[in-house]
Amino acid sequence: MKRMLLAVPLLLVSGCATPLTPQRMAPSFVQVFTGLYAEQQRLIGRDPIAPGSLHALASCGRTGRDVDGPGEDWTCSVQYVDLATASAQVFELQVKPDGCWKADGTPATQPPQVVDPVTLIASPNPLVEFDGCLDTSW
Amino acid sequence: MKVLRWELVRLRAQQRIRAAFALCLLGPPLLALVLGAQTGLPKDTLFGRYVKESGFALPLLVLGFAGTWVLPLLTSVVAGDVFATEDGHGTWQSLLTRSRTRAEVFAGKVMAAALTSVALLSVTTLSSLVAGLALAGDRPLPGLSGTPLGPGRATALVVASWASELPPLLGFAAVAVLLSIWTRSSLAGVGGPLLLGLVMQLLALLGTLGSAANVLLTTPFAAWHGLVRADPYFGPLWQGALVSLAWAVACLVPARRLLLTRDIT
Repeated sequence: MKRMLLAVPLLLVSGCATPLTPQRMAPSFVQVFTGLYAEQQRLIGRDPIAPGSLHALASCGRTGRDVDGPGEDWTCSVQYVDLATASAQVFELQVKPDGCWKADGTPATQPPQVVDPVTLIASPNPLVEFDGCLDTSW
Repeated sequence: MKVLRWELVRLRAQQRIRAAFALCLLGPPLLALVLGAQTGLPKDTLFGRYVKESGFALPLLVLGFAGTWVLPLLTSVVAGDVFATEDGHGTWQSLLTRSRTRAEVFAGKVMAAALTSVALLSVTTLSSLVAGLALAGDRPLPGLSGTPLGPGRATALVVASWASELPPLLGFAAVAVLLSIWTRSSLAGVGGPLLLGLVMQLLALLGTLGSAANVLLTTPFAAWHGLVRADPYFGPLWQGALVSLAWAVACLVPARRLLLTRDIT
């Protein structure tokens, strides 16, 4: 009986793969990035753009030894098309065991503030740091 | 029903229950005052970076913190004590001479504990929502899908998110009830569930469990992450409710049997 009770948690630990894979991180990241990119462009005075019109694609992965699971060494690089120009950006991600992640833009591409060139109103840049979560249920 | 009513009267008279309600009522406004006074933002917790942009961020910030640490504590303070207190005061004999069966006493006390948990949760929800709106107004909230959520939608989602804490909270209350009856000690009834919650949090933080972490009673506390977005997903919510139910049944059934068959003389 005791042995069986011990076996159950062991089975659970070994039998359940992590839901935090590069394949699942990428769409989660793309969705939040495109949403906030549209918001960022609105803040600098552009007409509304649909997140889907950016045709964004991302590839995510870990720079360390592990290929999946929670960790602070995730990066996502995203390619998108806006104003008929293709662009690419890289973000560093911390992925937590509960499925939520935090992305950091590099200061060169994502300044802390964005300014509307016409009104000169400065707003916090939504793409400096942002959060997202993915479904970790069975 | 009579047992429930008396139990609620008794709980209402307790200092620490009043203290728990005071904490739920005053904690969020105090946090809002502190956040309003300082320039930094609690960016490490979800929605912390938006507390000054949208009033709907504060209740979710509080939820992320309170859901995992404070609410289980407050629930155990009530549920871990309702049975053991009779042992502590040696009042089982006189209680059971009343014309109520042990099953009725059990049901009444469990319901009193559950109702108190619901009340604590509701008070914190309202208090944090009002505090958030007072701090930052009802501007749209940037959701976890990267798209802004309007005031009406955000209000509904905040309330739904808080309501989603109820199943695991009642699960913790059931653990507290079992420990309270089993050990006959208020200390174990209150401290035990807290320790269990801590161990589960640590297990989940290790990250080696993978999707096996879904069987932990602390995981459903995060099910609301799927709600606060333009395209909500409900998998964690249903699964969390089922897991919580399983924990509650697994604790309440032996607890009831223990009380019904116990030799109290």
